[in-house]
Amino acid sequence: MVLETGDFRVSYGRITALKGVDIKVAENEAVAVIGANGAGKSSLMNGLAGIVEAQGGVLYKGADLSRLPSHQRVKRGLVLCPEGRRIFPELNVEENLRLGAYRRGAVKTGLVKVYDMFPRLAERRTQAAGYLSGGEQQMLAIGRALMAEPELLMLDEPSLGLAPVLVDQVFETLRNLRAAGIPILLVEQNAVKALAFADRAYILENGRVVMSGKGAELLADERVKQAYLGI
Amino acid sequence: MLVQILQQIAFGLPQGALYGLMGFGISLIFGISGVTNFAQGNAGMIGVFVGWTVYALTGSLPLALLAGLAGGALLGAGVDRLLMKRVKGLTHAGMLIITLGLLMIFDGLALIVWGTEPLLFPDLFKAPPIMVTLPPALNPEQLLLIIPGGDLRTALAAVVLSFGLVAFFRWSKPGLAARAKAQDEAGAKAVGINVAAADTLAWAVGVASAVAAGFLIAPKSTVAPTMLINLQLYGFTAAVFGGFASPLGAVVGGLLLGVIEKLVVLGLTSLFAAAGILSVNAADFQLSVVLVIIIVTLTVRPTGLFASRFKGKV
Ligand SMILES: Nc1ncnc2c1ncn2[C@@H]1O[C@H](COP(=O)(O)OP(=O)(O)OP(=O)(O)O)[C@@H](O)[C@H]1O
Ligand SMILES: [Mg+2]
Repeated sequence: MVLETGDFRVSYGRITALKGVDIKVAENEAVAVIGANGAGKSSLMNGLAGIVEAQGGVLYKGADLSRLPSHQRVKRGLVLCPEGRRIFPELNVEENLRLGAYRRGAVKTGLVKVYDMFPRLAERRTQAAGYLSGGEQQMLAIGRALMAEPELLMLDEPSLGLAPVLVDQVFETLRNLRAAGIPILLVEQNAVKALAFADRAYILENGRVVMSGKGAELLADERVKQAYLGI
Repeated sequence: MLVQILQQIAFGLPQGALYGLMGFGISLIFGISGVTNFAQGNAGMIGVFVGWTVYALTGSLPLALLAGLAGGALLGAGVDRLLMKRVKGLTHAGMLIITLGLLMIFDGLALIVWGTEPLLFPDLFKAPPIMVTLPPALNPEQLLLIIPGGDLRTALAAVVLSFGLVAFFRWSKPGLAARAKAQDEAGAKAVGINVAAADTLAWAVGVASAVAAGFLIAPKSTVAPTMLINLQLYGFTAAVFGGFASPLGAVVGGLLLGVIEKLVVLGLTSLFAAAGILSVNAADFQLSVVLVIIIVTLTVRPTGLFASRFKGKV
């Protein structure tokens, strides 16, 4: 197992967003987490990354990370591309990418790879990131996460706000990463695409896992279809 | 008139350079950690006293400067770690109370340890003034232009230091990381920046820069508990002028402030002379000019000269 959580909980003051969640990600596996707005998907991702406080176990490559601050988790290759992009608006595109390799990863080869993947970013390398379009900012956020050469890549709604062509491109990128052997934990609103992409998936409702299984199976499940796929 | 104007600029720039250095630290700490530090001047003063003490004990000036700057950095880091980290998410009013409290604590500490007797610290950049006479075409009255040599060298040191520090935060890896933290904390955590360390860095460098300003002004102010009170007010004005969260803005704002202040006094002097008012000295209005600049900046362009383009962060 690359990642295994045990009774993982996140609360904000009196609001409990995650009420004990157990998920697993194996080597070479792509795992999706889907659920309605407010189900606790981002709380799960941010808790795993150490960006918000959480209780319960986080076993990553056999080591317990639950007490480690966010930067130590990044150092071990657990890298999050957060919801809402969270790029650095005053810094230019290249500075944003360089900071992606702040804790780990080779800057030079990383830049070549990311610019190759998103030529759009190469054209705008000296522009302030805040002036990029929403879609370009999303590419930057993904590129920035890749700069750290993740050993488990977590993405929180990476296709949010992207045009359909770009959504396809993001999933294409994710397929390539998985083919390269990088395990992925993906949160997506676009449940159809996420389930089609993922090996396995968890469905989150009110801070709990209510269903899990192979991506293709969930995609065919009547209840899932009704509740999440709008078919 | 040209000579008088140049003269005021020659007097104003050296002061402005110190305002800018003082403003730099205030802006830096606010921009990165989000705290408006009203104890900035007094924190710097403590560092100068440490330097003075080392000088008195060892007679070594380099050692004294190093000890003062290091002491300031440690003090800044300590305030961040021991105090600010514990009161995270404070309102502006809460911050005001806490840093004003610190101001008084530092003041009391200096009084107890070093007393009120003004102490002397060597002038680092002593130099004689240079007299210049401009050609008659520009200078019909044949007035002497006095270039304050020592002050200008001090100013040069302040400017080089200020811009050096601005460059450090603009381009170095830890500097970039600290600014990234200020712009998006969650994003900074996501890339593995130690956000607590970024705050501490800002506090350490910020307070050390106030110590540097203190060393540079010490020949004029003497070393005393109140030595940086005035300079702090100017530093705040420079910071407001420059956009408050922008250290570069504060440095440029300080330089402008130094010159504007002198030119306004010059203007008032000729105005009073023309109106036949002899009972008031225009120089007394110098501090009022500063307050007017704060008010005008806040009403006309509240974001300052170097407003950040995205939500007010460095
Ligand atoms: N910082 C916070 N403070 C208080 N409550 C929060 C905070 N962040 C999230 N919550 C609450 O926690 C619950 C789960 O939120 P979370 O962001 O994890 O949901 P999500 O599944 O990611 O939703 P979405 O699909 O809209 O992104 C929600 O009820 C939300 O209101
Ligand atoms: Mg979310």
